[in-house]
Amino acid sequence: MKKEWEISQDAFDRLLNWLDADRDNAGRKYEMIRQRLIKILACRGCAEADDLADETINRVTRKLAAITESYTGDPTVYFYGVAQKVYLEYLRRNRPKPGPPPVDTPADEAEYECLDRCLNGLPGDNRRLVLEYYEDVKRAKIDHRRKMAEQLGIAVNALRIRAHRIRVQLQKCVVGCLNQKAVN
Amino acid sequence: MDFDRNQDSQLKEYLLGTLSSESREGIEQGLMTDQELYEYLEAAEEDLIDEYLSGDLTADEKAQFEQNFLVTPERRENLRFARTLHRYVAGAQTTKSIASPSFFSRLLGSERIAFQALAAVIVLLIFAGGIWFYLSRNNTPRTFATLQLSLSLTSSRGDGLTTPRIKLPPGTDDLRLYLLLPSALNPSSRYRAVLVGQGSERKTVEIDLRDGQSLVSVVPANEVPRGEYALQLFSINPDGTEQRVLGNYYFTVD
Repeated sequence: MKKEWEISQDAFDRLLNWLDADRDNAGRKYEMIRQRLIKILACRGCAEADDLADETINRVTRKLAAITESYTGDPTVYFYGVAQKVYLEYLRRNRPKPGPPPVDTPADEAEYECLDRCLNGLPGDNRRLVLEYYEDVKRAKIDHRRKMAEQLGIAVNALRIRAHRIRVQLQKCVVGCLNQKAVN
Repeated sequence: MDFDRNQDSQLKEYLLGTLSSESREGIEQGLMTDQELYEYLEAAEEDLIDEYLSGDLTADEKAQFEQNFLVTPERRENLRFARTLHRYVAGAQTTKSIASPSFFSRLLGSERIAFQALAAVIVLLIFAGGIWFYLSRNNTPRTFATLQLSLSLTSSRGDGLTTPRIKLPPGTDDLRLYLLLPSALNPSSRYRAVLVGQGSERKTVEIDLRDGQSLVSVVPANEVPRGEYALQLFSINPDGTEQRVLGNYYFTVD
């Protein structure tokens, strides 16, 4: 997708200031908004979710002077409204086509080795949790996770989030490890 | 936010792109402001990928997954990572108890202090047994010191666990190591053990006996001078390929 307007540093600073008076908080909010717009647009089937999210942010930034005069409320919600319009325009000019089915490639040995290394780098409790959490299938998995949650004294959903966070951390570690391997 | 199974199913429909536009907007507005919902959606994405890989999606869901869900490079990367994780866990699953939390995981987890005390008692008893054995069988051709070891799933010895220690009395011919197997492993299967010394030198040692849920490996005493050791176990498949049993049997010779 062609970007028609890039954000200047001044415009970006004004945007951050609108999000939060504290620069660090504003930066975090900006990242959070962008991440969520990407997620929402991907969930709507947009292959170019990143570009559409950036387009949304650009549009808000361009109209910021007018927005700050008239809009009161959580800026996050405003971004969502603009994203809806950007999405509709995308649909009009670019009907999503079904992509090719994923190729069932065998797992990469390098990725497997990196996963092993990253798992071994986790604190012991987290390593055990993630290995146990992803064991079993279907019914056995549900029961198994319920028992795990009981043992840890937390709700199943809290266990799910805990496992998710470790999985995200692992995946980041594996990506870093693969990049390192590629350099060497 | 407290999610129930209904909402789980709603998130799944949302991810597959089959939710009504009204419900979809409700979720999206929540996603913009609710961190918990956002994380929950990400966890639901992982569950969906796992269901796809396990073949648990219906034919319609599978088609929607491939056409609607896998639209971004990030999600295709997530699928690839999940495939590797599945393969890894499937390998690890053969090495440990799965149906219920294992004895070892409980010991290594919240009851670590109890484990340390227990390990110390076991080592003392075994050491005393080794001495008794040595003294009482002094006239036999070979003398053993014995040590019972449990599999540690941690990646190194430096995580607060007490490593079993043994001092080999003068004249000891062999160190007999009892390697307690996790209950999921069959002691009558074929195994190979590799002893890793301090300088990372590796030496294959024999598995001589089976004793209940333990394998017994005998290492000549002169091959284990003072130092820290880790013993790695490999199960040998019927086709001759080997699979590393996760974890190490750590011990120290004083």
